[in-house]
Amino acid sequence: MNKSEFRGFKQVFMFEFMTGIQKTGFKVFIAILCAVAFLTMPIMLLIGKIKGDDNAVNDKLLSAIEEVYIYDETGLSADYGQLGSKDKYREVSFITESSLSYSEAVNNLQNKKDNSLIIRTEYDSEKGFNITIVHSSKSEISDQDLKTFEEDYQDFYRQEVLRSLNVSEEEYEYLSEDISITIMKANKDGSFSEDGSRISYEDYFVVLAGLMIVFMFINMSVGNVATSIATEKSSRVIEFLLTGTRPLSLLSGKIAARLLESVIMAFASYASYFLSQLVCVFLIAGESVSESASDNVVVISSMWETITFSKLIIVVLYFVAGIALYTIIGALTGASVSKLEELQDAYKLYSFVMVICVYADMFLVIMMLSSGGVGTFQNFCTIFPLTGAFLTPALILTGKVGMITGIIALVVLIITVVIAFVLAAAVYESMLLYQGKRIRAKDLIALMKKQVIA
Amino acid sequence: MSFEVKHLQKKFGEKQAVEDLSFELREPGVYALLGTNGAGKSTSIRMILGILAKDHGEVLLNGENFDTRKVNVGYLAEERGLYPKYPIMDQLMYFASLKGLSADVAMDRIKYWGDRLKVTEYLFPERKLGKKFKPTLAEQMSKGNQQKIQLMAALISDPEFLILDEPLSGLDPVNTDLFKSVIHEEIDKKKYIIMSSHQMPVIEEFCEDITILTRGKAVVSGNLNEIKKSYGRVNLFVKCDEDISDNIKTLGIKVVNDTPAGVQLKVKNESEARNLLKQLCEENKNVVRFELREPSLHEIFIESVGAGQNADTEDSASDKAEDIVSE
Repeated sequence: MNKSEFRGFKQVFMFEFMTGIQKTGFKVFIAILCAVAFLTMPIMLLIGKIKGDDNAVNDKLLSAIEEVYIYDETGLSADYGQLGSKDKYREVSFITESSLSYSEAVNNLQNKKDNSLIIRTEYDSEKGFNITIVHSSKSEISDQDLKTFEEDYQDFYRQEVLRSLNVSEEEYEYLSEDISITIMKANKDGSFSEDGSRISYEDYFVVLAGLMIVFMFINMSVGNVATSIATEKSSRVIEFLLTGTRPLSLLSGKIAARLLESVIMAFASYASYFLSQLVCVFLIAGESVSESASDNVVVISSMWETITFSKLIIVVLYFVAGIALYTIIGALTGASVSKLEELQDAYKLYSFVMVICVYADMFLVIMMLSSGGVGTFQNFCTIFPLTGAFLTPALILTGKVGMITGIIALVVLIITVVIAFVLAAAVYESMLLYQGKRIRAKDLIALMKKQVIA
Repeated sequence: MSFEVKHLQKKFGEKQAVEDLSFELREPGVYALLGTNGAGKSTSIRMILGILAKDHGEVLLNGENFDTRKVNVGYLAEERGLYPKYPIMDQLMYFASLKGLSADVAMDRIKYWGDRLKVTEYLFPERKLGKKFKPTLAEQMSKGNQQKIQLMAALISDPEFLILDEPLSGLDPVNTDLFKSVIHEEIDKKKYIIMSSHQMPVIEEFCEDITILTRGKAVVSGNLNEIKKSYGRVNLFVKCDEDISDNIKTLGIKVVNDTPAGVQLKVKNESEARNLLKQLCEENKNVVRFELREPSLHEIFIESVGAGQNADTEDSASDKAEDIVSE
């Protein structure tokens, strides 16, 4: 593999890149990607605002509930006047003394067009408080009213429990604060990283979204390079091209063009996301959104605050190398056919490998969310190049993979890409000029063996 | 400058596609490779260009290995190819850039050849007012016009070496004449040209030296005039007002074809023809036409290759995927 083997690389790269970005598919894909990156967060905020506004309106509307029968078996003497003091419940009667037993009251309520509720509260030393709310199937109480009442009653009851224990309002606020726990792992280099075996809901969605985005990039890149090579073989342009350039230039020029396209798409989508964050900050500052909705933005934004420059470099390199690996596989897939119509058939092996790897990654993410404790499998998925290409960038970004593991995974991936390129280069020329039945994997392996030994 | 092809060999699996092909070009001109389908012409050309690895043999230019990376070569492949979905202008600019041409030079040459080959309207489509500019895609052009674009691609770098694999196949008479005139121009520019064709009159029009291949073997090779001379003037055409079948029978001359226009005969030598003429004159027969000539290239080709030969195609040699491994 000498320098003259790369003659014409620049021209091939420029042609492939320019024709690639002019394709409708590329334009549509990048537009969708940017739109999703730009609009998702503001839409979430605005939906949150609408929901918040609805809740505010609901707070002022009278509830359809008319009577509430209380069967409190805990012995707690709750002051239901506190709940009745809320505007929406001002017309509601809270009845704590009833002549009917709980089961009689429930039987009575069945099939009656009655807007009453029956609440039974039990206490178990192991399970805690258990509140059951019963309403008639023919009642006119809306689901929204029930949902609101459920939330309000839960808050009210917690306050009453604390009040019965003589907890002051300040103490109550203190007790109500969220408690978050982060488990850190001390690394050999003295640094700390989050324990990779556990994953929060927010991280789960970030990792899953990252996996899907990389999957889309890889798929698009593989599809483009395979189609391009199959078209050149099918239309026999390849013979003319080979009088002006070398097979290695064609291979490397196409791969480089696909990588640049992917990097452009990634940066464009990140730029859209960054702009989207600015819009969100503006919306939050302008108090155009509800407090609960703004929490989502803070969660996603806070993840970026933990990203260091070195982490970002590793992620970008891993992302590019991962696409390069699959693009080489795509190039061999394209070169294995002589007619464009055979390409779908040739995709079978690539699709099988890709689906297995993506499913393995998704299984890992689900395991991390549900149970944790998947250390060996996680290390495998992170370091094995074919699975790591989809998942490792997101795991590094979210801190689920430490820097050392990230660097090891990157080195392994780069070595794999180099080996794959050398093997592909050894057989690419023969494959390009071959016209006939589709070259199958076993033929390819035999050819590689023969060429490498030669 | 001397160009030599020495003992080229190529096998596809068990099939010998080219066996010991040698020829030489010492002066500018056209060298012809002839043969039936699957005789090994295209495989030989691919090996000469370095597109296909040769099993054995050498291709030398001035005693050194012929390398398309160092020599300006133009190639019109038998299997014509353009990117069907890409604008032809982009493709030509790409091909020109691969040949090391700057954008300005490439554009000048595209304009020249577009005009010369009458495809300017496709290369520079008019911009219609109020409508989005749409460049012409290769798939929107007729086969003949696509062939012109491919000839442009072969000539755009003004190559010193030109390889034309079946340049006139599939063209209508008007475009055939256009292509022929372009090839004549290239010959006048003292280019070295290797051409393969099935059309014998075309070869006779352009080529001084030929090689006839059959099943990968060169069966006839050398200067076309000398080859013809070596066959001697044995083709005799006679038209007479009277019946001459008895005369032909008496002299034991082989009849090739007997038509109302005349009788085509194959004589052993010129004296046999002279004896026939003498006999006809002595019998006062009215001879309208008596023509003794060398065999045509077509006749030499048929005789060399063997009429009705069902040659295997080159593709069949490489039809199995296993062949790529054994290759």
